[in-house]
Amino acid sequence: MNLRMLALGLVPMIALTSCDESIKPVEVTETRRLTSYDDESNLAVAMPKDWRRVPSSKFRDFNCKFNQDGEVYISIGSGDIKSNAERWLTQFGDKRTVVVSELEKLDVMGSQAVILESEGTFAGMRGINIEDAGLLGLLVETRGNLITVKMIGKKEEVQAQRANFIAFCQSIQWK
Amino acid sequence: MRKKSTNPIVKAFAFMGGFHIAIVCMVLLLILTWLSTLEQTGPGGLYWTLHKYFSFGAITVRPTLYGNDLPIILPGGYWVCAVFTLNLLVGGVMRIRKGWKHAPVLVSHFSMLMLMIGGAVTYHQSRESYMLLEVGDTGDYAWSLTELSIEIAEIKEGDKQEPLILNSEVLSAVRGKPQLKREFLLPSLPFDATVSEYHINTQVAQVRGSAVEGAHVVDGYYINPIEPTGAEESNFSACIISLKERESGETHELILFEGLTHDVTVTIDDKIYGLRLHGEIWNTPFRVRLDASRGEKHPGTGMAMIYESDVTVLDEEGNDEMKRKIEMNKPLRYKDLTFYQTSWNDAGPKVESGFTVKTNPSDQWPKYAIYTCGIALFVHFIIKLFGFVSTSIARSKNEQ
Repeated sequence: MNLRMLALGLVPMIALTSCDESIKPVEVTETRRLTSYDDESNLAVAMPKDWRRVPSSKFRDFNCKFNQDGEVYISIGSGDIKSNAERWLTQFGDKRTVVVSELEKLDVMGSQAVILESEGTFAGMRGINIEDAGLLGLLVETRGNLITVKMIGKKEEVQAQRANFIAFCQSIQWK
Repeated sequence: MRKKSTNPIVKAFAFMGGFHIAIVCMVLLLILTWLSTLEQTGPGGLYWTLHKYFSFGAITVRPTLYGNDLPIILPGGYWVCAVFTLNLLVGGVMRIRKGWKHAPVLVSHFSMLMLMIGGAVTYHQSRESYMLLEVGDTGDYAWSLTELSIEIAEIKEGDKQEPLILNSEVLSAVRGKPQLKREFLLPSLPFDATVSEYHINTQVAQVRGSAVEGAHVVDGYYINPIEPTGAEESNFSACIISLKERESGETHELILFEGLTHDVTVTIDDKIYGLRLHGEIWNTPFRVRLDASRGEKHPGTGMAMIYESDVTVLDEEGNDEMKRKIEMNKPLRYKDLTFYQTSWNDAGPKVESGFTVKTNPSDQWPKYAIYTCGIALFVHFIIKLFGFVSTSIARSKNEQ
């Protein structure tokens, strides 16, 4: 092979090498023991395996998703059950007055929580509209806070997640 | 007069230990320090400017002044120091004239050599993190404000298990280089990971309606890179991690964002895994309880003027080992760790003390080197003074 051929071969090789944007793989085995850093929240929650935790936001202290776009989130806030429940129903175009004592009850965090359900077209705060949507919500007053768990998604998907939702709510504990 | 050697090795050795090299190195260090001091006031900030000028990987430096790249290329500060250390070893210790009269100069050169080597040990072996405690709290970890890691941990029934760590060193190849990606093989987990699009400062936004053009949307979120701030500790990094199941080949993408205070999760093989990007966590070998924190602020400002803390060091079982007071410039030194109080805040419901936690095998070397050098030069001065005085007396006697 003469030098000119070698040079001609080297140029594209160098060019191709410089275009390679990946870096050599590395094996990782380092671990560390758990510390108080790993107690991240004041709530202990066991999330169902087919849900995934996504970034929290200002009003979503524990934010999850299921299926493609289904959402479940815990909010620690204030206010009373009735007005919050009615606000949720309004998002489904449901104008009925909530009678708290008539709602389904569930023991959560040592207090009696109520479960709220609705369906229809959901009009969310971020301009999101979901046709044939379902709502499954839980509201409980505990330690001076109003804890709410709200599941929004396609009606049939929400119904399919009911058992997961109940188990999730029952797992919530103060740390 | 010594006859000059013609042997090229000897000549090279003499050149390496010569004054020319020493002067060039010192001038270069002066220029590098001056330019980096100017540059760190710009958008790069102190952390990235130090990295650019003085890191091991910085073979050459293209200085930037007031936003413009200067048309010069300088050698990296680390390597100038390395050459200077070699010069000091060859010229100042090995080739120097020996004898008791020159012993103090030899010792002073040796102490400067120790100072330089101490700097290298600090660069390669020291570790610095931060511990923030409210009065009454006990800390068992410190975290880095500038070095980030990714942790992957299985979550069983809501409880996090021991995490696997992709530390800052292995991530450094892609950090701040969003066009690059790196694969991480995780033999203890059923998947491997690839990290990409690792930005220094970002906001993570949720898609509202339709996605932003060109955005890489992952589960309804995308990374919005923003200009890094000068202070690295106030930047919020983000990256995309892609987990590829080894058996099925199925991949799962997640966005990791430093600004989150919790893990994001993925379920693989019926197990939930939590992932998080954050400052490297350093488990301290003992715990520290903050018993009291006192301070004073500059009048009319929120800046602390003086502060001090009473702490109790606890062993692994939580038993009291000793009580100490940490003051400004009076750190707690215990079991290879040094706790310097670096912040104090009484704005919240409880008073807080912030400690910089450091380990450095050559922590005290500069002090000893400076003491040794000072004593050696003093002895050298005395020897020279006596020599001068005795010569002067002898000369004046002769003149009489």
